[in-house]
Amino acid sequence: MRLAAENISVRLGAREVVGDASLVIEPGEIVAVIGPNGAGKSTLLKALAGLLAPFAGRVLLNGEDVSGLDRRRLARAIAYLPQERAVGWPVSVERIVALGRMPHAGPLAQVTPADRAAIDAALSAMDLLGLAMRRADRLSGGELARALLARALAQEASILIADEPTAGLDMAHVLQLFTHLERLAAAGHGIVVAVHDLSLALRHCRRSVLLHDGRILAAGPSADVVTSENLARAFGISARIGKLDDVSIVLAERSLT
Amino acid sequence: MFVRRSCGRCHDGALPGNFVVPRERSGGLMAGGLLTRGRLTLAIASMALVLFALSLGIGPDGLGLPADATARRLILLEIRLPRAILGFLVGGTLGLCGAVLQGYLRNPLAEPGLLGVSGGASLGAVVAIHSGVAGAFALALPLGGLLGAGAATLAVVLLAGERSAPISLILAGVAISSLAAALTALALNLAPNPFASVEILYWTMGSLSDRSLLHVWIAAPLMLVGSALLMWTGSSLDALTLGEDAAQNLGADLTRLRRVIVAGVSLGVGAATAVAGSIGFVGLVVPHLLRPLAGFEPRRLLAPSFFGGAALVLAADVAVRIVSPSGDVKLGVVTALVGAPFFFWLVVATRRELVR
Repeated sequence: MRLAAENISVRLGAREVVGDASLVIEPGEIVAVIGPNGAGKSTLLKALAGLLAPFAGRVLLNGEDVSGLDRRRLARAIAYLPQERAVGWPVSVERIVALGRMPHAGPLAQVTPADRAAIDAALSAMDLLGLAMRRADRLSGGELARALLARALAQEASILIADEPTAGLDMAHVLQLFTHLERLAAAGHGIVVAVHDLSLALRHCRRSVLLHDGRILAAGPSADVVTSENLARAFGISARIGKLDDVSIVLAERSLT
Repeated sequence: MFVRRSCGRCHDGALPGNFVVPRERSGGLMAGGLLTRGRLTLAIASMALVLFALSLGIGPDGLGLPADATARRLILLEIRLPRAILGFLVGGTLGLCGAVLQGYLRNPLAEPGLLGVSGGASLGAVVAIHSGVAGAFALALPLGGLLGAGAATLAVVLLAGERSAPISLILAGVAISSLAAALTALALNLAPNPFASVEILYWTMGSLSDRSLLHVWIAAPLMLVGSALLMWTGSSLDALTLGEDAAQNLGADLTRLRRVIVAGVSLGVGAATAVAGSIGFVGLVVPHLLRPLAGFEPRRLLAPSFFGGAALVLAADVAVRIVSPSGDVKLGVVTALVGAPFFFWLVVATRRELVR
């Protein structure tokens, strides 16, 4: 499926948090949304997920306006991982992940073999098989982050929108996550991730969107977006961007302010 | 209390003494535990039915019925049956409302009175007593209660708005509750005579004695409709475990959920309070008691909490009649007396768990 934002503006209260943003996520690609704190990344992602209605512009899923789509259909098409990581009750990891199957459940909510397979796959992808029965209140921050991510994966939606999925994850699990996302993209899923580690955007995301003060400052192939000039404008830093052997890295050198 | 939060930017803090329970295959899913959950509900429902029968069998003179057929029929149908039916439905409604509100707010301290409905119903009934209308015809009291509950609901909805976060609903509920409590106190303050003040005081303690089948006809349909509405909130409440954004992403319609909860709680708690007075603690304690058995997901608690609440109120009402055949000890006092020790135990258990 193809997800497109057409000139959307999003207001929270009276403040315009995202202004005139356009963005397309094609099947098979990972798009990074980058930018400083408060640039409007989370708001843009929520609008893409159909959770915030844009004040102007439209979000289209395969050409259909998401605001008019049936909720369950939307839930099967777009999985969204919020930045907020709260679990209201100390349920087990497996049950958290099983919630991802809700949009697929029949009226009696019986577990089908497809549900079981999706849950197992998600647990395994996030390296949680050993923690499946652990209660949410007995997880570390990174483990909880992986459990919540696994919920979004179990949803088996064509499009995955993840707000800072790498926050709190150790290096090994960040790698594992992106390996899995690349596998999903190769299988035809469209993926949007907000990330702060710009090296990840360079290495794993085909395209990047740089937000600054709610506006898209630059968008395109990641290598064209993550440049010293853009980073200076958006973040107010002087950054070194280069390669260590074959691997792209971004190093913030000093603040320009 | 149970909320586990991580901002994602804080450090990983692995808790000491983590352990992994062997993975169960059957009971580990949304409805994978359907059988066991069904069995739990069945067990609690049977308990409630036994207590219902006991409630029919017990009177001021202990267990049993008069030998005379006419008297027996009269006592059973006119006195004990309404009492038992109301005990079952009032308890069930309060237990279910407690479970739903705790799930909706993701807060184990939520209770049915939180939306201001019971405060409004109490005030309505107290005004009926105070104004003397209650003496004019038998149903003035419950009708006054229903009017009060309706007014309180309207006020809460207008105050909180349609699409705001759950917290606004609670703030509005607390505001209306406080106002209703102050006005109830004022009515007590300005009571025309000592009898009226005693009547007001007793009424606010909650009781099921001397209720007729008319009371049942007025309140039972409302409680049943309210409870039926609330029984459908389960999957949305489960989804809310992960927060509002995630719940919406899972297909939950939070605006509709809020409407259903306000309507269900208002109908149920409004009617329950209008016929039985304010019976505290049932809605708070029943979901807690059942969590270790049913699990933490809100949906799993709904049906058990209904029957658990029914069982608790019927048991307390039976106890009231054994302890104080003259009717001096009020039902609401006993439910609190029975409920509080459970809560002490809960506090100690939670403390132990947190220390580990």
